[in-house]
Amino acid sequence: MNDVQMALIYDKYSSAVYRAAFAYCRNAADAEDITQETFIKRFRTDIDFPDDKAEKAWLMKVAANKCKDLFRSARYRYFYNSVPLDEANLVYESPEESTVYHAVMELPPKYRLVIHLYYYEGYSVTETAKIIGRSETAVQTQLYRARKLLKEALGKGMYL
Amino acid sequence: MNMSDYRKVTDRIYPSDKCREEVMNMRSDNKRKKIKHRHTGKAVAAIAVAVVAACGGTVAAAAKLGAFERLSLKNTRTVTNTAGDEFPIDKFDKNDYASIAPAAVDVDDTEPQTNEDITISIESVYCDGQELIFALNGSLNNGNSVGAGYISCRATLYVNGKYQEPINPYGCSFVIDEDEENSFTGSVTYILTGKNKITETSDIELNLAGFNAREKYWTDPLLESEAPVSLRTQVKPNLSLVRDFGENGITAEKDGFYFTVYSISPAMMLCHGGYPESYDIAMQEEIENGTEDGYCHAVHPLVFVFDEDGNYIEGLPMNPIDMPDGELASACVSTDSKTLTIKVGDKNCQSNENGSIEFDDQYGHQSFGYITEFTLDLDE
Repeated sequence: MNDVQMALIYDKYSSAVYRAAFAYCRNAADAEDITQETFIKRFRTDIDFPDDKAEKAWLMKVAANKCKDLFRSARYRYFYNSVPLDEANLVYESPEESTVYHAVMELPPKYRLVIHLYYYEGYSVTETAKIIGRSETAVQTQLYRARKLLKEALGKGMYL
Repeated sequence: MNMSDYRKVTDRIYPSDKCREEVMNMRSDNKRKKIKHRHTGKAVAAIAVAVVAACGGTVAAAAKLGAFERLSLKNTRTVTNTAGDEFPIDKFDKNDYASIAPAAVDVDDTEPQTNEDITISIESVYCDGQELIFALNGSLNNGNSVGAGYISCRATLYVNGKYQEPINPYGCSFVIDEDEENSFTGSVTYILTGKNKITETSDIELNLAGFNAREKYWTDPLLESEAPVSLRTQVKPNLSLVRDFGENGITAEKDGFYFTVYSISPAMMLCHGGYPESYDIAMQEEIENGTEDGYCHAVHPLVFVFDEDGNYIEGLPMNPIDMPDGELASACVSTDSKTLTIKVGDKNCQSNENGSIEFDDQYGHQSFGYITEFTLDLDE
């Protein structure tokens, strides 16, 4: 793979990979580390993908695994429950955007990722399950619980 | 509000140019370079308990006011962006420090603690057994040569060795004291319910890490410091500060809409409101039927609380709080009101055939379609 091909691959998919990593990690530094590691792995892996969709799904799967690895590290075991959302990279154009985004970001990490893959990337339950390496039933359960938590945060209770 | 709001915010997130540059620089290496984690300017040390010896790192309260008084003033201070627009100096902290300050206790027996970049001490603590709020002093060991005005960090709390869940999603924040160059005042809040309540003098370990010093809360970091600072003290709760309505709280309801107050203290009111399940079902059906804008179609009830003078009682930015009755409570600014008026509005419209509910909050003037209202007598 030459430099031009690598640059094309990076420019085509980096935003998607980064956004998924950010949804999981909630901060730019870790999301960029994961993005870098994902693309380094891509450039060093000799795979011919049948189409763009397959290549993107592969990258998202690698990124999801890297996110889980990060959260298993000693640093995150000690600190992760209090990692604040990295607001410096976020722009809101209405209070509703801020409220909804914060509600999603307050979900547990595994719920954030399935919500992101399902609602933002538009993956089906089956595709999401393949990316995160869980069963379809597990993904459906996570989506259900995530929606329930979002409902409680956004719809049932005080307006904050 | 719906998931399109999440999509819009996410659409504006991009990796930096530096990220691309680093990937392109590493792509042709034969050896895999260890990617430097940008949080970690220094090694993550074991918890430090060294006595401070930093240059310029005075942590005595630079102002004559106490820490909670300075925090109270903080909520009146503003900063501007390049366009001249005014914002709160700290938009993430809405505690009513004017009410908290009189009940706070100074901490005299704790030495300042430091990592290589920042020195911090606990100046004062508010503890009513349920709400635990720290007022902290901080200074940058470089004398604030970077010109920071705002510092944020993560906070981890242990009470008698037991880990406590963070309640403020934004962690701990410091702002520079007025007219000072290197003296910061910070705060972090914890809410301890059920079995986690503090009922007697307890050992506290507060660990702060992942410091970001910025000019203003939205600007790029000027200094990043990962290594933790560990602060230890003891707190004695003043249980008489809390008006406790019991495990199930005190509730008013009307036609399936309800509002429960669990407790009121100088720090906050813990409460929970809800609406009939039929609204949940309607919204859930729209989501499951694939309508992405489900929340835009169904009536979306929300509960708003007003005191006996008709003033809107604002919510505090806290994570949902697990209550012993199994509900998830929210935190609001405290009130002395003897009765509360609970108004239920439809968040999907600014008014409807029944009228509107209007008030001003941190986001400006709000208006929602009117559904119903009822009162809660707190003297029952």
